[in-house]
Amino acid sequence: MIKDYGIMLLLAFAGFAVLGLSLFKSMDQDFVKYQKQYYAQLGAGDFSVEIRQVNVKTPNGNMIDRCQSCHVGASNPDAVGFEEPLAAHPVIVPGMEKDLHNFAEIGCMVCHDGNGRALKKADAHGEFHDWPAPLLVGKQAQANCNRCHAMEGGSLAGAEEYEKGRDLFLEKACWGCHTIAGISTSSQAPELTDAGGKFNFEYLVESIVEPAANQANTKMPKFDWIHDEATVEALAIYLKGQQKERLRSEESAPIGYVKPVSDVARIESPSVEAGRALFAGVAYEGSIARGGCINCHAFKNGEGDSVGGNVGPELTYTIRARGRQYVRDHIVNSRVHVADSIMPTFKDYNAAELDSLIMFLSTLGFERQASAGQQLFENYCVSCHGEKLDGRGPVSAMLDPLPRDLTRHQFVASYEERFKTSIKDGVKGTAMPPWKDILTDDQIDALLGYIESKSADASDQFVRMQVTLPKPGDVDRFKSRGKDVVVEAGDPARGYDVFQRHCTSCHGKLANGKGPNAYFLVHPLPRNLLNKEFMNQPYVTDQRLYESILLGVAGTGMPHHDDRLSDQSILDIIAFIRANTTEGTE
Amino acid sequence: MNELIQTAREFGNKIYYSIFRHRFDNTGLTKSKIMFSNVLLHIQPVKIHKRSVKFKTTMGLGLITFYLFLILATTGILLMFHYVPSTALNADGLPDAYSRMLNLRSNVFWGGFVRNMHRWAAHGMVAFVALHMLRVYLAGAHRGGREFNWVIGCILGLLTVFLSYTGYLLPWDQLALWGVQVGTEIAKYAPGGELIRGILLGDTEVGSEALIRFYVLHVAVLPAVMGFLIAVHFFRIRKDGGLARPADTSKEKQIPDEEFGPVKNNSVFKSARSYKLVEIVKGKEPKVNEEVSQMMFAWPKLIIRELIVLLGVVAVLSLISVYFDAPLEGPANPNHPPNPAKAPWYFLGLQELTSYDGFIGGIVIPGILAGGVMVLPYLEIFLETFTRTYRKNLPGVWFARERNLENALFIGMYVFMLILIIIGVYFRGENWTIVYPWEHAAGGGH
Repeated sequence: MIKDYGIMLLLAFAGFAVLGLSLFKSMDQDFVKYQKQYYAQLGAGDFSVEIRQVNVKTPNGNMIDRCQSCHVGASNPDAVGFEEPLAAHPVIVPGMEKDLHNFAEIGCMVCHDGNGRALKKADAHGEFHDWPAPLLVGKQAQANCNRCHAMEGGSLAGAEEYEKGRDLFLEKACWGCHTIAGISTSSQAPELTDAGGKFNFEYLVESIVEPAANQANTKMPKFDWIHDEATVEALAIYLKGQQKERLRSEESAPIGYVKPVSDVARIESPSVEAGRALFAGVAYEGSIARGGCINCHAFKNGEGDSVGGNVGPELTYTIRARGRQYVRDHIVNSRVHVADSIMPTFKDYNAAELDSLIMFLSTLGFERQASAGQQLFENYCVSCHGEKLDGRGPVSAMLDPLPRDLTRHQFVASYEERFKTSIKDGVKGTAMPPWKDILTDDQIDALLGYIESKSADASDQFVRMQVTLPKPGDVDRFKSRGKDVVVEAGDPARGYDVFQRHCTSCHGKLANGKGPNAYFLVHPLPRNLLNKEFMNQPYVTDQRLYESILLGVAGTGMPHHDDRLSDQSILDIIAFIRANTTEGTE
Repeated sequence: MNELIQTAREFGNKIYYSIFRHRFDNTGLTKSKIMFSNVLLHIQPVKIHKRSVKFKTTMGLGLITFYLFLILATTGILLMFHYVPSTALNADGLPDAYSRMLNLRSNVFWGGFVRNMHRWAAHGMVAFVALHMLRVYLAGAHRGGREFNWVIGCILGLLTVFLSYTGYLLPWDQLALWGVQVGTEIAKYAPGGELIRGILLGDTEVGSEALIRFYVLHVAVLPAVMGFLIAVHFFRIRKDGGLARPADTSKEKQIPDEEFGPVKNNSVFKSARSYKLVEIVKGKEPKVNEEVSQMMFAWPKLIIRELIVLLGVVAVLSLISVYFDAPLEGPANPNHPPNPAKAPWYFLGLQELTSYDGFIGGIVIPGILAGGVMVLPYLEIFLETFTRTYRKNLPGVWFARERNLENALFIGMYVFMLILIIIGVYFRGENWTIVYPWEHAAGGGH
């Protein structure tokens, strides 16, 4: 009995002690310690410790900011040189004696983000899981100048990093794909108007450096100009500053933005120099940078070395191969030629700017005097088709359709004649240009020989079966209920049903080549059957479609269907595909 | 003067006896009076079996669970003074409910501690309900007239989990939103699950409607139901003959009589309980045939022991709450699911099962377990009756040899769930792939 009472008393004591400890801990917070330190350092005898809360007035109400409970000396000039977190904030606008920002009114969070309600360091700095806006330290805080000051252009003292990032965004043609309201209009890539509101700084840095880190199936290339931290940080600061929620008002942030002349200056008379500047993405005679083709496209210089980005096709021969009008149309909207091109639309170029670019591109060209197939291939074909002929050249990753893998012997053996016409006339609806104006017939033959020699496999004597397209009135290969049936003309409506049953897993429900299985195929990918340019070129005959469906395409993922589809069904499918790609139909 | 003191004493006595009807001496009569003249103590009998206060008998598990419930009610009411179940956005872009959590952690005095207490007590209660159930089964205390109370207990257990789960959403942070999202997704696999989910969430997704519904369930509906069922549960313990024990305990080692404190003038109560009527009745009532010689006064031994458990729970829980903060992540963002999204730990076993097969893992197995466990004593009776295997029932005996098979199966079920929970909590990473806990700090699930 005595023992029980003892235990009870002990536990009662322990319980009260722990509860007392909890009360003590609630009173003994970090900011209390800091404020005592601060007033001791100042030598102030009379002070009271308190939570110092700033109610930052915003259009939506009050933002609560308790940061200065610890950062107690932020706006006190006497606290210069104190230790963190007591020190005075350095002057924000360089060269000013006294800062114009009043922290008693705007608090800290407006510029530095973080969690204004918290009083513990890790909490307050947003260092916990999934906090949307962790602390922006030092220069990073320049991102938030944009919250109050209009900074779409012009210059604001103290926001150098932000401006550097803005210049990069223009110079490196990020704007070509990404929309930021007021700066660019493009639907190629995710809009970044609210990039800073949606993503934290770390995420932005990560996405710039390694686009696939957060979005596995991104189409954004890894750019080779991203190699140092300063560049990435500046760009990330700029993007972090893009927020839909703005706190702008006349009285709180009077310094605004005046549209500079350079923003409206355009190239008025076409010249090669202007084209070169556009291509390189640098300012030309007072206009701001508006181009930057070189970030994606390369060309061969005088020594035959490729310079520029590896995202789009090399442009050395493009004017000669494609002609001026084609290139011009392609810059304005590449999708009229290649349905799945990722190239941005540069539709706000004026005529002089387009002409300048064409003039610049016309100066390109590098003649390689060679007759041997290998040398020719290495000069003209390698950037897309790759050194190993496997269709994985340096620029191939972003092309759609992918360059042909020329190592597949069965494929090469199937289509000898087609190869020749493909080289001569190009393949419409793809990145393959016509080479007939650049290569002679002999050179083309030499190339063909080289390709065949690289893909030939002596042990594989592959001969493709010969089939003929059935005409209405012919007898179907398949019997119906034991009786012969006569084939009639293909019907798109029936074709739609057959297509939905047999073709969608690869070619997709819309026939755009993006079916679920397409993600598991590597090279080549299923054909986009809505690519009008491709489907309507003279070489893509009904006979060819019939062969491809019936026999499959050797060396690709396309299987044969001779055991599953009757001739009538194949004709229906062809009619369905044709109906999709005939001009004037949807 | 003396007269005045005498009158004052008389006045004092009058006041004293209007409140307490007894003195605190050691007579049997007083000890009885103490127990039945106090509304809090009267739920307990005047005389208890010596066995009842032994640690080995109950380990205090049910009591701990009940105290945790009381602590939860107290801290919960304190939290209600500050909390707002609203998802309306503040000027700083934070939902109201969530910003209240931030305030609790910073400028609300003692707020962080109270929230920690509430959080850890909630997790503790789920754990102790499970332990209590395990104890009852392994000691065979669900049989011998206590079958119905077992069912009540099972319902209480489910209510505890549901209470904890509804509370899980209220902070409205990422952990809450996605934990609840995962849990309610599991419900979709059940027939009619979509409807139940719709009624519970008031929407097709976890949103502001779900928050207010969960809030009302959490602070009003479930605690009320729970309080009522707790009363029934306790009442049935007494009506079913007190704590389970074998018919003959004379051979067991008991706490010595001195430990129960001296009893003076006990001629009337020496060999009987305060109510003698049922002791002379023949019949099958559980209260019939009690071992009168093993009965001791509940005051003060039982009450002191209960207080010890209470103080222990408060001390340990407070200590945990001082040193470990309740988790809080970023504000709930329906567009940004964490990977992996984990349910609270007590559902992670289910989530782990669901990852193998939605319907079987999420509905069939847990349904069989929950339903099966609830009717387990009746299942045993059914089998025994129809196979005519009347066994000697040994309620209150740990690991009775006659019950080895049942005990092994029951422990097996616990181990099975425990392993699944451990896998779910520590060994599951991005896209629910296996990772080792030391390689990657798993998010969620706490």
